[in-house]
Amino acid sequence: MKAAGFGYHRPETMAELLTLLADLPDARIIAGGQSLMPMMNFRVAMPQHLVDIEKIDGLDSINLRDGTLQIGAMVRQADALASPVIKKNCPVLADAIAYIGHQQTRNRGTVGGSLCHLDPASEIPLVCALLDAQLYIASRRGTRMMNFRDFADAPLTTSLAEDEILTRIDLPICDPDTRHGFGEYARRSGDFAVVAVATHLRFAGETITEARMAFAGLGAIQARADRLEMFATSQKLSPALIDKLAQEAAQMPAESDLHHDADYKRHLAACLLREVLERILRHG
Amino acid sequence: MDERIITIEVNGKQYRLKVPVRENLADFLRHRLHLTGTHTGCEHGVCGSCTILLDSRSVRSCLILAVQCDGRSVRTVESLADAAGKLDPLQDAFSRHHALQCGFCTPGVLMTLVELRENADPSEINEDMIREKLSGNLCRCTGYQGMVDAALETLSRPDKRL
Repeated sequence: MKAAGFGYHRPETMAELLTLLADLPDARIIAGGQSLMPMMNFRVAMPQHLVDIEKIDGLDSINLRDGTLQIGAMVRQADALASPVIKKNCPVLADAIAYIGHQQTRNRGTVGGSLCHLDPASEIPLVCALLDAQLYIASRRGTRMMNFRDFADAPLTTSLAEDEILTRIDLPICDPDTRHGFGEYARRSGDFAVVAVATHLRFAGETITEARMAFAGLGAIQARADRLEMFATSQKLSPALIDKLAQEAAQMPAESDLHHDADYKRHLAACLLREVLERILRHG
Repeated sequence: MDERIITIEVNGKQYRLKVPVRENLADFLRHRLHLTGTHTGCEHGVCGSCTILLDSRSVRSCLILAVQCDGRSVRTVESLADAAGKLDPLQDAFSRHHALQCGFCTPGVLMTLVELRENADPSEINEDMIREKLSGNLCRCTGYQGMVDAALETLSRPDKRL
């Protein structure tokens, strides 16, 4: 239960960091270390080099600019959870983060770290899938932007190249016409989700003009449920619609895992979606 | 083996020591500083028995390297009682409320509650909040009721108690 040996690097500037990433063979970035350190202690991960990005300035700010919420990759989950800016402008993210681990892990764990680890049951990638987050990627070759869908390749696998780093996550801000919901089932408080759901609905009067619903835990990657979204668009949110959506959710493709079979996960997805939508219906 | 010299403040005392970069903070505290109050249980961030305060925030000391704590300040359970052995009010309440049996999880539990004491408004501390904070600390013998009672008595205002 001890990490194998590695070379340790703690660059102080972005330029220094990008050079290290370009030059070092088999380097892993450590942000908060709440996923990577357990993997290293188990020796599931044995990188030759560890590049610690804690000292680099400018990666931990939360800003509102041009109608977009910009979250630095090194923002601690606990700070994101406590941020009035996030609570006001992207409440679904704040709700989601409350489900991540515990106070002690949220104090170290970062928003960007969770995204790059890309566990299929995790909450931050779910919100990024829901809201089509734009991700900023830097390397010595330059910076680029990509959609979460292009970023998330496979479970625990992003499309980042070895010399690249995620620096910022951009999310659209919610406005008075949108309602959101988040629900999760885990076997114990703070455990990995078995299934989680996030929704984002835009209304014109009582009619849903834009419906977004995304799930974690069902498949390999957090993803929106196109079919459910189609059913909800242009409809009035009503008990009848919620019944229909829950029935549809119970038919979604799902993958069994060691502890939960696909039918059980579909059942959870339907129950959670119903709960979340009924909450929106009740509270307006 | 890659090693670094680090400067670290632990329980108000400054240390300057050479450490292998792969050594985690829990092992550093226990094996180099002989502060064995911090316990290592699961060593992968689940059980919470190694919880300490790093710059006044609770963290798992098994999930952070000693080298990452260079220039930072750590508090462990040894910082709670005074030099004469007089217990911190939380520890005293734990004793009176039978909040521990084997005591293995206790150091982590106490440090989690110290963070709560220092950061939350006593008028807002209630049973739900205490239970939420303690969800990151596994106790396998006493159960949590005694801890919750002790924490409520020490940290919350009388009207929030059971």
